[in-house]
Amino acid sequence: MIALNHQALPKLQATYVPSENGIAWWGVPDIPAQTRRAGLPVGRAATLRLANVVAHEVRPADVEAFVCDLKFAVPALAACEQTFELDASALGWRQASQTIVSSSRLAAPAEVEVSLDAVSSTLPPAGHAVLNAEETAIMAPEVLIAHFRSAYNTLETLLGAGLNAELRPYQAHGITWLVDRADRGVGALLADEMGLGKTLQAIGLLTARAAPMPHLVVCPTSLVGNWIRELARFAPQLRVLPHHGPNRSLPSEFTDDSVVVTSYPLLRSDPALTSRRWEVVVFDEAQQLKNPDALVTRAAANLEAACRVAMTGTPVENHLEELWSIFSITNPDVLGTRARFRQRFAAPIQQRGSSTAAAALATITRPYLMRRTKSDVASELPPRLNSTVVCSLTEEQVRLYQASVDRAFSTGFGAGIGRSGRILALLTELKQICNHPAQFLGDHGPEIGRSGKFDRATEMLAEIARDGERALVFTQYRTMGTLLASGIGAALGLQPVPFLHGGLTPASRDELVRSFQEDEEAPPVLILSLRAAGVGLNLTRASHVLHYDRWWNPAVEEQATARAHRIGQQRTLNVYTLLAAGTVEEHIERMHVEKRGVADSITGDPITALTTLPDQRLREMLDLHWADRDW
Amino acid sequence: MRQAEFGGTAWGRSWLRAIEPAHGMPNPRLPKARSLARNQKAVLTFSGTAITSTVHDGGTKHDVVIELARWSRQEQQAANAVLASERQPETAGDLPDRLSDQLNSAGAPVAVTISRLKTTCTCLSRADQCAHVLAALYSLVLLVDERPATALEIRLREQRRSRDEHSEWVPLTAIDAAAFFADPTRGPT
Repeated sequence: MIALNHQALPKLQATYVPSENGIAWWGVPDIPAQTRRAGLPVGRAATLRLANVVAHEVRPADVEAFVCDLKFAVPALAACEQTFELDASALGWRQASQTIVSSSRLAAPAEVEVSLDAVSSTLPPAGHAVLNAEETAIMAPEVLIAHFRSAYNTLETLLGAGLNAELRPYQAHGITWLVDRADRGVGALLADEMGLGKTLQAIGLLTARAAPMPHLVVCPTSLVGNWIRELARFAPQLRVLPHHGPNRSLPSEFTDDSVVVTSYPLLRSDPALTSRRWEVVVFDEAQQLKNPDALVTRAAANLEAACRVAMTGTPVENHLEELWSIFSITNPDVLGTRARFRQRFAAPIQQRGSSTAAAALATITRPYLMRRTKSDVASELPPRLNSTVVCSLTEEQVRLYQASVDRAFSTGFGAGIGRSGRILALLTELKQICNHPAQFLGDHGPEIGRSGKFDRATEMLAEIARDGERALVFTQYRTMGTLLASGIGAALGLQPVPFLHGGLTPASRDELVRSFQEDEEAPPVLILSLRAAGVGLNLTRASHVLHYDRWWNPAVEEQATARAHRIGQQRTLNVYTLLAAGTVEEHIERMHVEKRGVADSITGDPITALTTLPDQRLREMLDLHWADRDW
Repeated sequence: MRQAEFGGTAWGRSWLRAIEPAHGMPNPRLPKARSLARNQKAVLTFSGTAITSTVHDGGTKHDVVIELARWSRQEQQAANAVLASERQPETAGDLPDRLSDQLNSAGAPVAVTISRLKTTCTCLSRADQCAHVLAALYSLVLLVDERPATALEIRLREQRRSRDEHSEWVPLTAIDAAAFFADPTRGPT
């Protein structure tokens, strides 16, 4: 006789996983099929760390799952009729979904509470199997349901407020977390690795917390232009007020949804910033606040705000006390006094590597500090991330740039065959000024503080090197390459970094490439001349590519990028294009983007187009764009 | 500024003085004990009645037990008076140094003189306090420096209800595997 198996088929489990910003389906052999049978969206495959029953014990385990984003999972669960496929955990999340979907329309707040309380008292452990960092416990059901509710509400708010971005799951989680900190009246330190979109997450917070009181963004001078651009791109509904340059002023009355963008030097010196109250204050590149005795740190501490958020990819560059300093701005009471912090954490950890002190510090900071690395969220990242980094000009650059344009137009370009040559000469001058005044003037050594692009590039490369990753920097100018090689070497505390250019013999070029690809001790940065780095080079050890200046022909830049982005590259490649705000570089960038919008097939050289313009149009293109420049 | 390695806080200093009495011959085993503690060779485990440690000394391991010496009733009363007047909220295991000094002078000593501690070690040394016991005590000094509240917890006769840091979490050990997938309000099926 055939033994009849009376055991019921396994039913679908569901767990809300905050870090994935979604509901995980799991616990059955064929998750996609069973999810579809239940009429639910399947989502993306993922291996999650959850609590599960292993050999009759509840233990942390790798669980094969499919994760469906909240914005799809919640409405689908709320409408789900095929409850036969669902186990108690999934039924619990179905009821929770029905509650929060209806809460926005009809139910009174009290009814919502009662209904969610009912869910949390009936939700089995499988439904809240989200592990703590030590993997010794799972989140209590009422806590997880509260997170679920606030995450869903935040997403709804962002949608309603018009955040113009497709959020990756970890970014949505980051915004929810930031909004949650702000709602609790505490500060936060967002320390995601470079390239994961900290700026977008901060803009998400500013959008969700739109209020009668204005927000304030404080960033390095070289990033003011970038913030203005990113705010306009992701949150066009916010009113952005640059507070920068000698003619700056703040209105006495702010309209709702205002964001003031300013720089650290001004925070230190301008009483207009410290004499009013702000809703959210964002400190970008918050390692600028790592010295607690610096004037800028004290000014930051004096700002009055409902919520302070610090952002940095490197919360600790050299000493643990830098972390204390940043926390003294965002969450002054959490780490105690500076002396106490030294006694309890800095000295034990740095002098004798105390693991108990390190664990205690991690536990204390966990509610206020979020850090994800690229490998943490690798499955959510595309193979390549492109970003345009807009850098502000320094006053010296503005002066040189304007003088060049004035001089050229007062001399005139003439007509005929000489005209395009003279225009090209002017363009070259302007590009050199944007790169670094030292390149234009033929000075030695690129000092920090003279070029927005150079300062920003140095900061980015230092961070990449600290993360143990490697970068290629492309420039089209031999002189700039030489300046970068010495300047970046000095800034990273290395010997001059190698520069691969056309003047080298083929043998020494091959050796540079081999060394970059294979040597453990090779400098983490390689500078390349765009022309010399033609086809055939294989530089896949780099996970970052910086285009220091614009070639103005996307196809050539693409070819250079392909040195690092080749088949076999497993990690996400980050491609950054640096450009100087308000200058001809930004105009050309706009032309690229617009052209791509019209037809990808047109790849003509925009420079040729420029040389055919009449003087007046040409001047419009080349003059500094004051609206962006806000001096 | 490099700070004292042992006894950076008043709480740790109280225990340090108990291990290193100011009078009498210096104990020749102290340098080795400090070295073991410094190198995390004596990791401590706390129970309600004792501190235990498996001390790794070169290639050998020795189990150390230090019985907890709670305050006497009288000492506890003196401590209660001091603690009741303390206004500063406890942040993440820290307690002000001032409180340690107040307890010591009020007759509720923070530390126990080493000769009054009941200790055992599985090593063959006949000394009252072998290097392994001393290493465990030095580890206690370091731990107390990092988390002063520990000093209070090992002396109090009744544990204070500290703000429950873990109420947001359910320990895995508290979950019944048989009920992992089941609605907790329904009986077993």
